Amino acid sequence: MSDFVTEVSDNVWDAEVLQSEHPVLVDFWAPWCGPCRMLAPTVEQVAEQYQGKAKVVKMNVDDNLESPAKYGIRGIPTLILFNKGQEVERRVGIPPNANVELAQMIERQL
Amino acid sequence: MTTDFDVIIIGGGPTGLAAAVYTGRSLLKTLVLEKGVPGGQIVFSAAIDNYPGFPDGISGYDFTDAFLRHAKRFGAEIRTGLGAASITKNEDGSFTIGLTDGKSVTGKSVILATGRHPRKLDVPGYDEYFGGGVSVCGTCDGAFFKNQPMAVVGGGNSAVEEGFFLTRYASDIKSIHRRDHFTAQKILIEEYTHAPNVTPVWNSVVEEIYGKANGPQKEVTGIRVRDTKTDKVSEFDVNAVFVFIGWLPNSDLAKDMPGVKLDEENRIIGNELMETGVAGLYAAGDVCVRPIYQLANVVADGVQAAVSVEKYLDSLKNK
Repeated sequence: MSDFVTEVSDNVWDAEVLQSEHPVLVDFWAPWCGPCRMLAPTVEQVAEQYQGKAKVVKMNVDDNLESPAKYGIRGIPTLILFNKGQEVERRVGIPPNANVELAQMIERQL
Repeated sequence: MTTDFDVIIIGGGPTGLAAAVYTGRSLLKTLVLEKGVPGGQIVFSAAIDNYPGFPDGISGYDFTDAFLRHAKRFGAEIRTGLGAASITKNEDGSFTIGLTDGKSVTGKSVILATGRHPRKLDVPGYDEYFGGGVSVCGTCDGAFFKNQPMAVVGGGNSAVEEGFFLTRYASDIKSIHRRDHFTAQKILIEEYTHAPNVTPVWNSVVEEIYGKANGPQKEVTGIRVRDTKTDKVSEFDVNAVFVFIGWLPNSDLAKDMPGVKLDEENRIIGNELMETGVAGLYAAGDVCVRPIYQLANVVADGVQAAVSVEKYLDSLKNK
């Protein structure tokens, strides 16, 4: 479906997100969230831009209950940037100028 | 006049995409800049039931997806997540658009289709709990509050339509409105007020949204509401507050341009050809002064703007 953004689940959360050697941007979404789906191509562009330097993944909050609950997701899209196992920044809703905004979030961790 | 594009459309909502279909079909080199997501506000709609030609309704996402594909089919280049930061009219009559990534593009003409954004509730707790129960999107966030009490604030089309959508999730909805009746389309009011879990709270305004916070994790637990007739203050235990109290035009880009006129609400004053006071600069859709703000008429605005652009560009060639 996507070349640069992989879908993650609760089962692989620790390995893929918390233990990643690179910063990880997680896009929490659901199929019924139209704005989330419309945002996906922009997130994909950022993922392509930072491939090899940062990881970009998405998590379906319908299929995965544990991680969204743990991080208190109560609205989507929510984008959280993790670095070295810790949450460093989050954005709720459609970030204006997401191309620039998400790139800057990642740059701050590199 | 050598430019990157014949026309630069700022805003990729229904107005901008409708314009792009038409400019594309006129073989104009077209760029659409969308700082948020394509579709703009309409993509937040769970079901569009009032756009003629869709008897079974269509979701905001599906509608936008079709519109996008239509605009792309006729050659429009669409950049998302990237907005315009400035508009400059050059000496040769062309325009330079500064982009939010620091770069710039040039165009012979510009259509402002920047739309509107939801008005914020100016009370303590709104910003703090946004995303932690405070929301402007029922379709995005309603499902997080299944069988939980909610508040819906506002009484126009958006509030009543979204409120009705939320009745499928909420255990109970306190519908808070500053007037003593809703002002939405009749069919929407019927649906909403007949739902068993909706209680209107008339003549009332929200004074505070409160909750608990644990670092970046926020959780609404209630609201304080004042009755404007009696000054009586009530508290309601709710886990979500959905706010639909009107819209503000996204006219900042044009407001300081000599020749562009705004009304007292900062909406652009144009004419039936979508002309502003600046040659080659057009404004269409929700950012303009309109008697109604419905999907069908903002789409028509985009079409008119595109046709006006084509005539303008023809007139330049004949000079």
